[in-house]
Amino acid sequence: MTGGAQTPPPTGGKPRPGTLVALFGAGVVLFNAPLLRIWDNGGTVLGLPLLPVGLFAVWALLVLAIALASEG
Amino acid sequence: MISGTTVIAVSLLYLLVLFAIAAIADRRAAAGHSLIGNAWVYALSLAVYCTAWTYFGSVGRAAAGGVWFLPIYLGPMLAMLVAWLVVRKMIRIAALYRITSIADFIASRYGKSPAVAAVVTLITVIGLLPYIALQLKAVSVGYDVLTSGAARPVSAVPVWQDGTLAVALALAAFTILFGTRHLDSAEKHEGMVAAIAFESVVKLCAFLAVGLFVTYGLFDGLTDIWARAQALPGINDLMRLGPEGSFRGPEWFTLTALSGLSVLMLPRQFQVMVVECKDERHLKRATWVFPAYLLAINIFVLPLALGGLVLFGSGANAEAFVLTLPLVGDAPVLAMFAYVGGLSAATGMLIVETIAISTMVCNDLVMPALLRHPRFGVGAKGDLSGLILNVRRTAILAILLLGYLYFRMAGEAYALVSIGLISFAAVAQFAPALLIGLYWRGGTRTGALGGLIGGFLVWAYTLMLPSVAKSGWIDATILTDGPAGLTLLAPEALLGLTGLDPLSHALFWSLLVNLALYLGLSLWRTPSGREASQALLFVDVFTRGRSDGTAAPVFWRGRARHGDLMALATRFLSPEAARSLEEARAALTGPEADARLVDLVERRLAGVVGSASARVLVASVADEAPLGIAEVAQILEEASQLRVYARALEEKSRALEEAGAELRAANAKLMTLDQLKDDFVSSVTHELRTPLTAIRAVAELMRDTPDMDEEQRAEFLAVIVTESERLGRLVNQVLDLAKIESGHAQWVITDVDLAKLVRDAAFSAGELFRTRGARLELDIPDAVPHVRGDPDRLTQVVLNLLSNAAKFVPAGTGLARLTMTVEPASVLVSVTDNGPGVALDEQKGVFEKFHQAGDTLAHPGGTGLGLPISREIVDHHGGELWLDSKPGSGATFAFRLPLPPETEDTP
Repeated sequence: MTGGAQTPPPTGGKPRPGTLVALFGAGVVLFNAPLLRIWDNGGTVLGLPLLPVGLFAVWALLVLAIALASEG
Repeated sequence: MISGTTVIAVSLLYLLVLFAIAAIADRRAAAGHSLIGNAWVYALSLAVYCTAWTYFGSVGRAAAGGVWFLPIYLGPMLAMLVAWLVVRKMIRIAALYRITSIADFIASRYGKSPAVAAVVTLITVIGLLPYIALQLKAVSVGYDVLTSGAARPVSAVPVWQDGTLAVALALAAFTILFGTRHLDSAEKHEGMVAAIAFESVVKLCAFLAVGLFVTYGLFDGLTDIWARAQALPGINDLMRLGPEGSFRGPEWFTLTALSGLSVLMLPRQFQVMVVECKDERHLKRATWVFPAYLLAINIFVLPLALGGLVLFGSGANAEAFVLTLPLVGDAPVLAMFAYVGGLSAATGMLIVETIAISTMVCNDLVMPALLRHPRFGVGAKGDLSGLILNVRRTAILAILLLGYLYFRMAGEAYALVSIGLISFAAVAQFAPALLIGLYWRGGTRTGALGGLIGGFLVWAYTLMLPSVAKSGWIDATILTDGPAGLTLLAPEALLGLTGLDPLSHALFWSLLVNLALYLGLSLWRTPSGREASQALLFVDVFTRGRSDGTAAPVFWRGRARHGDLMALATRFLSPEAARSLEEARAALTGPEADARLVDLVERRLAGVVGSASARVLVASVADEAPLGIAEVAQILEEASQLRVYARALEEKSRALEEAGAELRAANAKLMTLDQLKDDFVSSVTHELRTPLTAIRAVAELMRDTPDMDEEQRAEFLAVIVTESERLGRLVNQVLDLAKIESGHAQWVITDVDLAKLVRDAAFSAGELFRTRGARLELDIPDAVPHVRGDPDRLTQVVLNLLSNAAKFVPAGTGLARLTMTVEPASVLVSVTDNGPGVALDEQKGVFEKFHQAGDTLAHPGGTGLGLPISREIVDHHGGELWLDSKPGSGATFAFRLPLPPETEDTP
């Protein structure tokens, strides 16, 4: 309970907990309604349906972000 | 079509490769070259999440539901974002307390409760057995599709001819061989993990190969598939969350949350992610490689589903598209490879899940029962290590055979098709007890038991029962009318709650009941001593224990007979483990030795029989004092007292170190001052000697030459007078400086018109410049506010700066510039010359006593005290004196005097 001055912080160094929680929050919001309905309009991009393309794009961005946060 | 012999031969070959890889990895580990001590292998082993249900089932789901297969993989993506926070804590705890399964983990958190462990194990077995059956079914259906083009009913194949049984038995052999190699389950299963990582590569490559073949071989790219799929009815709705106007946000959220929890709670994930983790830093790599893997294996799911629908029509078996598309594209080798990929997905899941469940069954169901039996129990003698291994081997075989039996019986039933998510929902019941228990100390055993059992019962009623009913095994009217006509209790519309899909409905109710019971029962009673101590060890794992340099407190009171404990340990441990334990025991000393030994033995035993059984065993041979909440607080108090002492000691030593450093610095300063004093004395005597020598020489000359003519005599006398004046000046300056420095100088402070003072000083210094053929320019504003100061002293400063400039300007072309600037709160006076400037390394020294810039001999005439005195004077007036100089381009000496605060002076 009383963390001493010499105690290393429980999650010290990279990745910072704040970054991870922020990414998690962003992921939850981006992967769910109502934001999901922005992609869900039946449109197409480069001749492909928008919703799956959008989901995969957000997914790839999240992978990139967590990779940078963890190892960058 | 491919002949059955080929398929069997290739499958067999693949399984042999698995055995070989596992054997090599185990041998390398024994030789000290671990294959799995690698972040990539760790990350790939997590992909055991992708089972045959992913491999074949995703395409099936996508063909029926479009984008709705995706949440199953988005959840893990989200979970991995916080894995470094949550999973790392689990890894640390499991490593510290030799925890070997998720049942053990949860039970250990709640006071090492055997009941909690048993409940978790039962939920796992009931929830996951159908999932195991599903994997076997995938292997079987794949075989049928490859050899005959379509799946046959299971009952059409006699058991003794069923290749699926052979696969199940081969996997049992593999799992027994590489999963029960160590008695201590906390030891890593190196061979198994290496094989699993390999399987992950195989299934990814196979799926991508099929995806590329279909997209760019059978079709002309992604856009072509989509364009041709436009002809299919209702295709646009597949690419959306639902038909126009419908809102299925809650269902999407449910699926995401469910899969996010499952990726942490599934026993196989816990096995590879926590138990088999060699180094928690590997998790950093896994947090992005695993989601990237999921992304890659899902990219071609929609193209395959749409391509299959285009080529086969919507009536075809979409779950077999991965195999039938290469077959129809006349690529049997690729179809074979695709089948091997599916086989690897199924076998990977089967192996890890079986190891995980068999450990749980052995440690948490069988061992507690056995230990109660007088033949094996606490009073008995004899080595039990062989027995434990045999129990585990039997459990492995039994689990796989039960899975096979389920598959034979359930066959084509609905119960199997939908089982993936139903299993997920079962293990999601662990989430409250495990995740909240990681961060909240208040959770109790009763709360955990209540939550687990309550959630599980609701799960069974709202998900399992309907799936049984839909399979036609019981009357399906229960779904609509409820049991005995009580529509309020209808399993898929409990208490009349409608409007949710069955899965969201079940998950909502089961987790609500689970959470309510867990929190409610936990808050109802305060935790017992044992629960509180385990809660502390779990919640504070990062702040207690090894990381802060002191050992974690051992929550144990009583007397231990070392002999009995060691005898107990040798019954369960391998000889090497017992030997290392004996060595550790010998090293224990002090008043805490008993508690430490108990802790040590208990942890070693926990790796073998689970922490709940280990607790029972140790308690049976040691005289334990009951551990109440008061004892826990006391032990904690003692531990923190120790920590306080350790910290105080450390602070003292740090303070001593600091004092030492200060003393050293003071000593160094004293040495410098001493050196300065010596230099000062020698400089003064040197300066005194030069004029004295001159005076003496001239005086002697005059004494020895009585007939010196008048003119010569007058000249010599002038020399004597000049040199005497110089001597006097020097002595005066030394005295002056000493007086100022010691604070005994007399200061006559009045209002000083600085402009007039500077002009007067420049006038008197004019002669100095003229004799060197140099010019002095003045730039003094007309109106300058008065400053407070000693006019004589300030004149001395200005004269000193001017005479310095006069000394250093080049003869003939010298130019000095005296500038006065009025600033808001001060007056700046600067003297700039065009002399050689002051070298950078000398700039600091010019204000030191007897320092003369450049070569002393080259600039005779100064005493070396002018600048130090000037600086003292300016300092005394509250101003500052400094030097700006670039070597080669002149020097600027400037000083700034503060103006008196504007009060009554300014009208």
